[in-house]
Amino acid sequence: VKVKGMNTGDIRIKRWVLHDVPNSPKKGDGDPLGLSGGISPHSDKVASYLDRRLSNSLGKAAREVQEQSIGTELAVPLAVRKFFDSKDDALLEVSQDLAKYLHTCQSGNVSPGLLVVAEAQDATTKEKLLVIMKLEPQDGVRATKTIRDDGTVVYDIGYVDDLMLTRQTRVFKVAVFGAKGAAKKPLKGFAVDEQIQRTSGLAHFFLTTFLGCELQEKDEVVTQRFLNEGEKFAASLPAPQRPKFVAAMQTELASNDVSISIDAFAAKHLKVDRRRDFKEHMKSAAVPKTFQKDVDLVEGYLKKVQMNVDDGSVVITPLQNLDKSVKVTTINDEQSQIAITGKLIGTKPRGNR
Amino acid sequence: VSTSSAIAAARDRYVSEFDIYESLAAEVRTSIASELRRRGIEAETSARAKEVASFVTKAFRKNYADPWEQTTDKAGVRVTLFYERDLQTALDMILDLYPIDPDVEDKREELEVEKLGYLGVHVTVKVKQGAEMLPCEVQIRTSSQGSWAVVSHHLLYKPDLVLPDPVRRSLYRLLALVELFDSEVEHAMAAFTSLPEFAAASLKTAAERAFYEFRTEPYDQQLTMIVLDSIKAAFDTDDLPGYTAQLGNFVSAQKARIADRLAHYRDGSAHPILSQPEAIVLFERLEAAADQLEEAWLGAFPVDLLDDVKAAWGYDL
Repeated sequence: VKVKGMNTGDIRIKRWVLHDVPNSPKKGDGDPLGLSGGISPHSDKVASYLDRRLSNSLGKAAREVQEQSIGTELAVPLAVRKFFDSKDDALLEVSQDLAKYLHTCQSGNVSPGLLVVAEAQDATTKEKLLVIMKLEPQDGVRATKTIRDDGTVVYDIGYVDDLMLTRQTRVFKVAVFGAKGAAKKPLKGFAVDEQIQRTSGLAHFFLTTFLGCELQEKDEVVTQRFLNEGEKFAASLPAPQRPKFVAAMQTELASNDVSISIDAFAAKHLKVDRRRDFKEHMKSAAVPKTFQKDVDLVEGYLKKVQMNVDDGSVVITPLQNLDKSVKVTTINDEQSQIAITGKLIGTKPRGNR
Repeated sequence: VSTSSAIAAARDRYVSEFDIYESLAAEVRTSIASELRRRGIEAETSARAKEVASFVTKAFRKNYADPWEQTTDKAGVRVTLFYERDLQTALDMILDLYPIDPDVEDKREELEVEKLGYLGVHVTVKVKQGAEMLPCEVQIRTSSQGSWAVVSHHLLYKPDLVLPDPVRRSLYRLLALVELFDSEVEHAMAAFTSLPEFAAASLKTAAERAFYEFRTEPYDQQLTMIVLDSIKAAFDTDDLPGYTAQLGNFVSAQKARIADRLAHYRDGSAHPILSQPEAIVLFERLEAAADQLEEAWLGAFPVDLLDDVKAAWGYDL
């Protein structure tokens, strides 16, 4: 079951609680958990910032996730259900549960950060949403600590005005669960871990260890579909452009980059007037806009490229020869020339004897 | 040769079916006007069913053998264009709308080069009405051609009152002015569209018009011009003159979403552009030509500002 149909620009953060979550001490000498005792004071400016940041992140890299099926209910799915099922206002309590759990499992190389747990609403459908964000201090926000008259400690988001300048450096992790997705078994929602796009070592801390979720569709399946759909799209390109495009996909998959962004791939390998068709093609084939590469299912296809010519000729060449010893040039819209330069070292009959 | 009885029969039938032709003309006018708007072609349209008296007069004057079948302008629509350059586009558009067996009378093609004459285009289209295909005549012309046609209809084609030749010639001489008028308007339009500020100014007009459907507050006009001038490469130059209509169509289709976004980001301190008219243009470009917008944007502003606009408009999950 998919929780589709949401527009990220419709998500409106209504109230939030912020906790300062340092790394858990391994030997008892870590910083204490900065737990908020109240809902953060509302600020339109911060809400607007969070709305846009959330929309941007989800729009560029959201993946559909669901709770892991391991027999017992994990901490975050439990808290999410509590938020939606509780008759009373459970935002503060749920946020504290989440912060405590994050603190216990966040250790070692995992970066400390601010946990924002927010109640939101879809402006169009009016569906209630729970948003869990892990911000790191360079994200343009910082925690400010206030002690109220009754002694309650409340952390709030201090908004850094030079946000525009600091944007390139931050890391942002977010999960969104809706009332409809929370009513399902397993629990379903969306998650983004921007760190996945940069490094692989810590990739699944947020999704697996903390959220207790998994991708609804495995990366290896998505990677294979990207290649298959890319080949189908290539058929819509003028013939002379096809080999380069197919080779670009193979090269991208074989590279050391951890993830693939459909938008970035289109910008790099397609002329501006063809990008939209490519993106639409991938969207209609349900290829996520960003995904972590997993070439297990396609490894065999990444080493060579095959070009079939309408006269029956077939050219198979290692990928790295393309544009070097094997050059494809355009003669006209219909015809191309494949030129192979090298020392001919063998010729043999081919076909069934 | 028509007989009085054939005309009388046709007249009686026309009287009884007059309402059908009146609504046929209105229907054709509505669909043509809507398509003209959608394509950004500036024009005025009108519709009428031929008056019964005109129907009879014409049948006698033309000596129709079959007055009912030969009178193809019982339903009529007039399309008056502001610019001559749109004449062919409008004709092609109408032929696209009504592709079944159209009959085109293009005066531009009929007139020899050394002669002057009326240059409008008349096309009789066939429109399905129940089980029948009924004709409707669509006249396409510029406003100056229209003015001449109206005057000539009154003064030149009265069988009982023939003006002296010198006066008739003076009326035909006006056709030279009609051609000159349309030609000079075309020159002025060409000069206008080649002004360096034309793109940004047209976009600003379109943006402001769309913006005032939602808001009435003053805005930073200088910022609007800077932003729109910077993204003009995200448009086809040919589309700019009709962009107001194009943006209007976008606003109609996305009214609720635009209203929501403009209300949510009403406070300009949250974001410099999202409270401005150009936000609507940016939203429209994100739907119509996002990659071209991005290319144009990257040459002028930080990518984060566009990311914010994209985020505000939203992505479908």
